[in-house]
Amino acid sequence: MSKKIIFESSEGESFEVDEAVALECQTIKNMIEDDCTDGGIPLANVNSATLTKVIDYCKKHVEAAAAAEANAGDKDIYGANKDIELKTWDEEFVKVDQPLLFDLMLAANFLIIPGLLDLTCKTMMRGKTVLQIREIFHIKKDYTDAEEAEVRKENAWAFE
Amino acid sequence: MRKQQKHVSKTANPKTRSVENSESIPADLIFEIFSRLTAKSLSRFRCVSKEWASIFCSRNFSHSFLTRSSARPRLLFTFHVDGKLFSYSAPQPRNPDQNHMPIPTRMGSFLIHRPDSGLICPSDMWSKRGCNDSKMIMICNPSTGQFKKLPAARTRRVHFKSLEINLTCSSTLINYKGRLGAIQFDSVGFYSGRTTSLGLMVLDDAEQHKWSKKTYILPPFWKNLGVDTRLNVVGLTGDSEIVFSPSILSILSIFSTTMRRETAP
Repeated sequence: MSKKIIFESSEGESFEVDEAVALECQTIKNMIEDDCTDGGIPLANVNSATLTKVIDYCKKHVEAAAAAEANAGDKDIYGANKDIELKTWDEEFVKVDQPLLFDLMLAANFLIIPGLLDLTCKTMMRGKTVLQIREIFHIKKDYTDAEEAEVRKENAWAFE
Repeated sequence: MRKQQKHVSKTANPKTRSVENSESIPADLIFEIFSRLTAKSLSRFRCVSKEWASIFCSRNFSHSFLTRSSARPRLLFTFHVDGKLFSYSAPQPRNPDQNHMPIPTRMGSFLIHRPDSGLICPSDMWSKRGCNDSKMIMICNPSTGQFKKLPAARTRRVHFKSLEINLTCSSTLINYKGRLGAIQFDSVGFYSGRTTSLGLMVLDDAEQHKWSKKTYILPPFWKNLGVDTRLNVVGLTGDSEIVFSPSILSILSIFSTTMRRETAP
């Protein structure tokens, strides 16, 4: 029976996970190594909805890594790993609304989960227009209309 | 640790947080996001604000961007069809069909030189053949679709030193980590699925004519290529991967192999 780690969300809800799953978070890994995880780990800045998703992500990636190790010889003729399935899963995983995506990114940054941080950061910006970006980051336009038109013209290729 | 976290708890009501969270993004996270943007997104998001534009144009940021992008080199290959230059890179971007640019040319006879640092240099073969126009050589950036005409170069006389290479069979010359290398073919003159190993001669000392020979065993998937596929060496990537391409391009396939598995010379 593997060791269990208990997370506590900002709402005070408890989540029990396998140690292997918790080890996906570098921050938690350090705490486990320092032996300060008894009695649960309170994550005051991660809410239950986000934590559920984060645990899903870590579980999936632990399982995928184990499966990849078991089928280490099962590579295609070009020597590439068959990780397309996991990539598709990741893409589905981040199909969430903007606030949750934001919370996931903050959680990945705080818990140090490089894969999830990479995934959420890229998804956050992918396919966004300049207007959407201003909205998301609460940025006030400081260009005049003429100045903006000029910058757009200079970078016209990027808007094609 | 736990005390600290307890301390920051209950700072925000979860309901209002969703709306306001963007304002509280830590600066390091902003840079995590910026560092993952593609060149195209960076150019587009220069329009977001003056502050963003100045960050993206700063020397530090462009330096780190270049360092990151050169750490993951890609293969760049181009096709020239109907006066348009199509460029593709591997791994492929999401919409590879968008990556093409028209080249201003009368004849459409362009010679595309080997790309360097993501830039390509097509030169007009037509004017080379004795047209009155000055030679037209351009530098193109396939990512941005921009191209610039190079000014006429001043020529000067240089003296070349000749170097004799005594190779038993045909070979392709490459730049092997800054030294002259020659990839040797076996008696048939090309690589195929039947080939099992690859020979590389490297010039250790030009004065002394000293060469060293290395032999690499080709990976097992090589035999799946079949005996009919004739492969030529295209060049070497920055990571010392040899790139092969079939001599007949019906369906484009490019094979690269890393020079790792070495046997005793």
